[in-house]
This record gives sequence, C-alpha cells and structure tokens, in this order.
Amino acid sequence: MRRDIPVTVIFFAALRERAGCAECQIAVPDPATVADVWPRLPKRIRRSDAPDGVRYAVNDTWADAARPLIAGDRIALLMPFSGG
Amino acid sequence: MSVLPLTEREIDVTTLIAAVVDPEHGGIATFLGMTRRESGRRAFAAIEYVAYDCLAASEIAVITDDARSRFGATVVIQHRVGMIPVGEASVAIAASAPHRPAAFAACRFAIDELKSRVPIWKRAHFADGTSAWFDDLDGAAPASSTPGPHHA
Repeated sequence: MRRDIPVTVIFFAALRERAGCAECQIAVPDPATVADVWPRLPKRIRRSDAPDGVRYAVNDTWADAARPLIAGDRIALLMPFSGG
Repeated sequence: MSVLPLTEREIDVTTLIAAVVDPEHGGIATFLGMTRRESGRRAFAAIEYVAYDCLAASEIAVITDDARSRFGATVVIQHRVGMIPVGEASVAIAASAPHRPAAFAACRFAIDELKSRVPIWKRAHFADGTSAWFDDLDGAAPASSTPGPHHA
C-alpha cells in the first residue's frame, strides 16, 4: 500500500505572500522527488506550472528536481533571484 | 574585522575596504549597488530585500572563494536586507589583488555571480504606497505594479 510522505515546504518573497505563511505541510506520494512538490501546492500559491528559473533547496542545501524526498524534508521553492 | 554577508544596517564601505587591505595587494576595487528611483517608470520610494539567510550566506562565501581561485583576489561582499530607501546601497563589494586588472575583474565577477546565484529577492515599494515583488513573474501583481527587470 502506498503511503504519503509528509514534508514541509518553505516560501520566500512573492510565494510567501501568496501563501500567507513562511511554510506549510503537505503530503507527497511515496516515492516522490522535489519535482512532485510544486504540483501539490494549493492553487492559490502556485497559480501555474513551476516557472522557468525556479530553484530548490532541501534541508538548506541546493537540490535538483530529481532529488528523492523522505519524510520530514524541508523543501524551499526559490523563485528567480533579484538581489544586487 | 569580519564582514557579515547580510545586514539590516546601512552599509559602511570603509569596513569592507579595511577587510581586504593586504600589504601584498596594490589595487582595491569597490562596487556599490544603489537603490534608484527608476525615472520613466512609477517612482520607487524604497526597495525591500529578503534573503534565504543561511543559503545566501553560504553562497556568498562560495563566490568569494571562487574569486580567490580565479583572480588571486581577496573579496568581501555585504548585502543589505530589509527596507532600503532610494539612494542608499543595497550591496557592496570590495576586492583587492596584487594589480588592478585582477581587482576590477574580481569585483565584477562577484556582483555578476551574486545576482545570479544568491537567493535574495526584492520588492519595489512605490511612491503611491503600492508594492510588487520582482519575482512575481506570472502576472500576480497588477500590471501597473509590475516593475519588470531591474539591475543594480
């Protein structure tokens, strides 16, 4: 029987404003990768497919979309940067 | 004295310069990125910056290490976060090297890398009281509030 994996999704900037919070808990099916997170966000947050240039971090370390997830992972969804 | 990669305080470039002084280095190049009013568009009153603190700090450290490897330069970078009024610095870089070409090159390298690699975002606060994130790319903000690309 497939189980869901509970993970935490962390937001910054515009995504945080849309979410109304700094992070949220979601469940992804097992097995899952980072790429499975975006489509499972509430529509009010994601609004569309993941934009070009979005980057990811898992547990405060850069990660690519193919990285497998385990329960308790903290995934940061990072929209294109605009510092400087 | 060590330079914090992120600060909520006004940037003091003299602190950055002091951090890269080296008796073996004959050139120091500096860069300041300033918040600007954006003439020709809706005027900004301020720019707000937020960072993914731990990852931004570690990425800035990677950039300074890369600059040392590539150019033999000592580089420090400081980015301000929080609300920054127009006309104040949002980022500062100081790069020292044995000769000026390497100092200039390292400084340019550091700001270019920062803009593409460091997880920091900014929001324009307009003079009329509205605001818009620069990373809100899919039209979430009202069209009249979307500032478009902005370069330091």
